[in-house]
Amino acid sequence: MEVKENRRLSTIGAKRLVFFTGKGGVGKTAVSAAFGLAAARAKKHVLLAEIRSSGKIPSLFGITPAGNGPLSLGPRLDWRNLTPADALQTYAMRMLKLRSVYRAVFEQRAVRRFLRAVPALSEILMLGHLAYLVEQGDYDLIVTDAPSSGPGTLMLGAPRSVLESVSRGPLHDGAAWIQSLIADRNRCAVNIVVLPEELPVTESVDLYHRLKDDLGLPIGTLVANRTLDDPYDKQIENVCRIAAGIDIGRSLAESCRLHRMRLRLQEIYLDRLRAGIDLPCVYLPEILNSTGDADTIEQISAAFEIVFSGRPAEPAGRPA
Amino acid sequence: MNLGQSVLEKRIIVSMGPGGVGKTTLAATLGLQAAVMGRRALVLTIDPAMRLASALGLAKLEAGQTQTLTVGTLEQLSVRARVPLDVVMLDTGRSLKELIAREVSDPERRTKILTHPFFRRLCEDLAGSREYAAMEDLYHLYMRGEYDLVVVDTPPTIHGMDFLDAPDRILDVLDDNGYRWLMRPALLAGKIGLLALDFSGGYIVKILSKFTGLAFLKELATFIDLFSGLMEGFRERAAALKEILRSDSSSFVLVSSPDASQSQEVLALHRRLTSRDLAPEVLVVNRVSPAPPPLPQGPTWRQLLVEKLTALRAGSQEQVERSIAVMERAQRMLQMLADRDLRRVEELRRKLADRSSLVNVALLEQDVHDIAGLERLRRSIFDRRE
Repeated sequence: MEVKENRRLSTIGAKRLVFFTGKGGVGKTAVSAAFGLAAARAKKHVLLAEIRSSGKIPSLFGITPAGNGPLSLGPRLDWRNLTPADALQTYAMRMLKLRSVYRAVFEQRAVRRFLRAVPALSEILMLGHLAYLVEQGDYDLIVTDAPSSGPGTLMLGAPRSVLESVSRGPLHDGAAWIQSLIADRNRCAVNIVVLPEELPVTESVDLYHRLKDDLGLPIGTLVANRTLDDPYDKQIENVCRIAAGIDIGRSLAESCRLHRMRLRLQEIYLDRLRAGIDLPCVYLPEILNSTGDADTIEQISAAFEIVFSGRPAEPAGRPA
Repeated sequence: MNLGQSVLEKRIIVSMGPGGVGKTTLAATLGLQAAVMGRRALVLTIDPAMRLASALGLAKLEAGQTQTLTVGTLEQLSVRARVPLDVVMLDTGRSLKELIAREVSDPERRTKILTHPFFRRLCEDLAGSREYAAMEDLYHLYMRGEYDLVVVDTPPTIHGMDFLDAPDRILDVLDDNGYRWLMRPALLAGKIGLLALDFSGGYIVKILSKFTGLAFLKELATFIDLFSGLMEGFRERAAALKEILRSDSSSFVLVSSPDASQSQEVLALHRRLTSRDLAPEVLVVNRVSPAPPPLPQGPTWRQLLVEKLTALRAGSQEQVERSIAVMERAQRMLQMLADRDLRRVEELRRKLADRSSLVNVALLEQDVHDIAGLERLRRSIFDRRE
């Protein structure tokens, strides 16, 4: 079972484009950054892409970006922030070649506003920008910190909804081109980040089915973030129980009770997650002894080594 | 003003913040508190995920349909409410259809709008239409006055700002004079190419049609045309709601967790709200880890504990020592979690100075996903403050 899971995991490291999505607040950004860092360490040339962000990833590396990049965060590790405006310019310039023409048309206020009325255009443009970067081939791997569940599904579903409502023309063709990339399990994977908590688990199961069944996208792995290790065995449990009856043992026993309550909740939710989603899972530890964001990313990225090493190592941080 | 006063006095409370901090849970809790205090409240969520539904234990809550939690229902769940509590999840399509039905009197034009493919897309939550629909609903709920309080839950931060910006943006798109003089003639004439060398509408339409196809552009133009003349009413309502949100009858509550990146987002959101005269009055920091009980005092307690436990046959001395080491690690870990959270809450407090009052909500022993959980949360927020 473990070996099979590890083999499934190692295929995720071989994609060209991966997305990390999940419920808001589960740590998608840090997980994306750590995954990208692990890939760069494994000698891949990596781009970390954020969507309409304020540069959260560079700030994790202690860098304040002046614009939307591209910006180097380390050896073989670049970052950029994708915006609809930049994506439109990239796309338009590829078609028009001439900057003056671009300005005359796309920098018209009326045109900009008009384009805003096109449903799903921003999403299509940003996905198109990603697809273009994949096609250009400057990077072995593009890791995208995608929007959370709802907006993320809207974005990843945008090509499909355009294909459903526009039957021909350049917009249709562009959407078809993007769809052929993001639906290709050899090149692309959508990963779901989750916390061992009630609402994130419920939402992830729902998200998984929408992405896989409704949108037909290749789903890569589950990432259970901030999991706690379970150090208890029968012997320790016994000591805890007896300590609870002794004056000087009471506070330690109470701490253990609180700790084990958290562990029990975590197990309930992880069980529910594994029952609801048939995917391999990477377990990331809760980082408590970190000296800062960069150190946290460093520590998390160790858990992803397995994805890129190709060998069936010990599963990362899996709680007992 | 604190949270308790807001629930007693305001007519609208908007709950905002980054994803995953418990905005929906807080919104539902505020609604519950209102019901306990005897105010008729509605909790309106516009999030596409079924969060409120699961937080309220109403997994089958149908979008757009108001569900009433009666005093009896709440009492069975050991909540002593004085009045019922209503909850509803925004159904964008339904709200927009009702809006068109209200505003467009000509049946032919109404049908044209309702059957236009772009309208159907708008109903599927695209391009900020969800936020727009929420604004319209909120305005009408307020004007009808059937509720003492409406608690609005919003999607995560970036889109939470959309909640305030969306009406302007949609109105700008649908009521665009630039489009009218620049592109409309060319699109309606259908003679693209005649003016190809002229930097005018025809040229622009020609270039744009390379991207989207001409048929698509024309469809978009017809759609925008269908809305001509309707915009004045739309704008008036949007402006009126903005005034209401700025007035004393509304309050913004920011929700954060102690998580570092989320508190950054909350600070940014706070700045943006303040710059629009929509200063949030309360910041709620949710899920703050409580500190574990302190270790015993004195230098010899560990030795003493080992002796006592061994005497009580808890195990061999080695086993007992090993167990105590694990227990100490557990205590230390909980302490570290608590210290980290406390540090971050203090940092938030410092950065916000005195501009908002701050409420810490302890991490509860169980996740909140049912009424009993909401009630525990409600008590932990309000019972200690009143």
